[in-house]
Amino acid sequence: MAAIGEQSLQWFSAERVEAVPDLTSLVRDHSGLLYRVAFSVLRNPAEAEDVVQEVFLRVLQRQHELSGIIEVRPWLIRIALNMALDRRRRIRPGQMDESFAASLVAADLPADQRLADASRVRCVLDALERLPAKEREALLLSAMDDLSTAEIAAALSKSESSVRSLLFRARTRLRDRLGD
Amino acid sequence: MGLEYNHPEEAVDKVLAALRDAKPPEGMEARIHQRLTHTAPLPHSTGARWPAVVSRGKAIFAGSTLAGAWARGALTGAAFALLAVAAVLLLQHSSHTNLAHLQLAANNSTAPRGVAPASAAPASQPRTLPCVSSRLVRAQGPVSAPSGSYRPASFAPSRPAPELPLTAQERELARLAQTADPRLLAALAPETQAKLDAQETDNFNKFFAPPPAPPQAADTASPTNIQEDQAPPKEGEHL
Repeated sequence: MAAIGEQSLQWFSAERVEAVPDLTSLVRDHSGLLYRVAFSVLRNPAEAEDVVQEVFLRVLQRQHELSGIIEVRPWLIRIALNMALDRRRRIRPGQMDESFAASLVAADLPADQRLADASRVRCVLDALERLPAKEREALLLSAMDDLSTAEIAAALSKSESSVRSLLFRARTRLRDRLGD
Repeated sequence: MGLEYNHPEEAVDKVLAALRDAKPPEGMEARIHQRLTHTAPLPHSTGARWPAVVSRGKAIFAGSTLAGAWARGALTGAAFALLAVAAVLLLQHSSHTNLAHLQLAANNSTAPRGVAPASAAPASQPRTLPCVSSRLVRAQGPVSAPSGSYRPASFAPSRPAPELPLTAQERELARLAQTADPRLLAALAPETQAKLDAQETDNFNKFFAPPPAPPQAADTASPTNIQEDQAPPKEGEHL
C-alpha cells in the first residue's frame, strides 16, 4: 500500500514538473523582453530592471497558477506592463528623456545639429506620452519585433482587430501632431 | 541622421526602434536569481515545497533538543488555553440560552389569553421552545439587555403565575352559583331537571284533571263530609 502511494506521489510530481515551467528558464527566456517592455514605458534602466525583478517575484509567489496558464509570455508581458504603468505614476518618464534623447543623436554631428535632433526626439517622446493610454501601450508593444499581434492582443486583453485599430489611430495621431 | 528626424514617421520609427533595442544591464539575470533566492527558495525539480516545511516541523517537534521541548510546551499550553476559552464560551452560551427560554416562557404566561405573541410558540407546546434561536430571543427586547442586568433575575425565587382572567363561560357559572336559582341550577343537573319536569307534569295533570262525577241522591253525605263533621274540634275552637 505504501509502495502504491509512493508510486502515485512520484507520478504526480513528475506530471507537475512537466506542466509547470521552471522559473529559471522563464528568467532566461523572457527577462530581456520584459526589460524592453518596462523600459519603453519608463525609459529608465534602473526602474525597468526593478520591474523585471518584481515580475519574477510575483511569478514566484503565484507559481501554483503557472500550470493553468496557457500562454506564459503574454501573461508575463501583461504583468510587466501593469507594474511599469504603476511605477510610472510615481516617477516622471520625462526626467530621463534628456539623456535618452541625447543617446539617440549621433555624436559625430555638429553641436547645433545634435541639439536640434535631441529636441526633435523629445518632441516625439512627448507626443507618445500624450497619446491615449491604450494606443500608447499598443504602439510600444508593437515596437517589439518578436511580439505578434495576437500576443499584443492577449497582453492588452483586446481582440486583434482592436489592436490594429489602436495602432492605426496612434500612428495617425502622432503624424498629425508631429507634422504641425 | 539629422534629416531623418525631420519626417514624423521616421522620427517615430527611430524612437520606437531605440526603445526596442534597449539592452538590459549587465548581470540583470544574476541579480534576478539572487533576489529570488533571497526571497524564497527556487523550486527544485521535484516541485515539492511542502516536504521541506514538514521535515523542518518534524525536526522541531520530534527532536530531543531544547527548542523542540520549548515548542512542544508552547503548543500544549496553547491547546489548553484554546480548550479553556471554548469551555467558557460554551457555558456562557448555554446560560444565555436558558435565560432566553425563561424570559420567553414568562412572556407567554403574562400575555392575555387568546392573544398569542406572534413570535412565540403556543403555551400548549412548551417543548418546542428550545428550537428558538438566540437571535430571535435577542430581538424580543428584555433578553437582549446586558448580562449584568438580567443575571440576578435567574437567582430570584420562583413565583406562581398570576391568575388569568375568567372566560365568558366561567363568569356565567360564577353568576349562577351566586344567585342560587334552583331552576337555573337544575338546568345544570339532568337528574334534577328530570325530577322537576315530572313534578310539573303531575301538577299540570292534577290541575286539568276532569272533576269527579256528582254523587247520587241516596248518599248525599259523602264520606268526606262525614269525616269532616266527625273530626275532633281543634284547640282553638275549645278556647
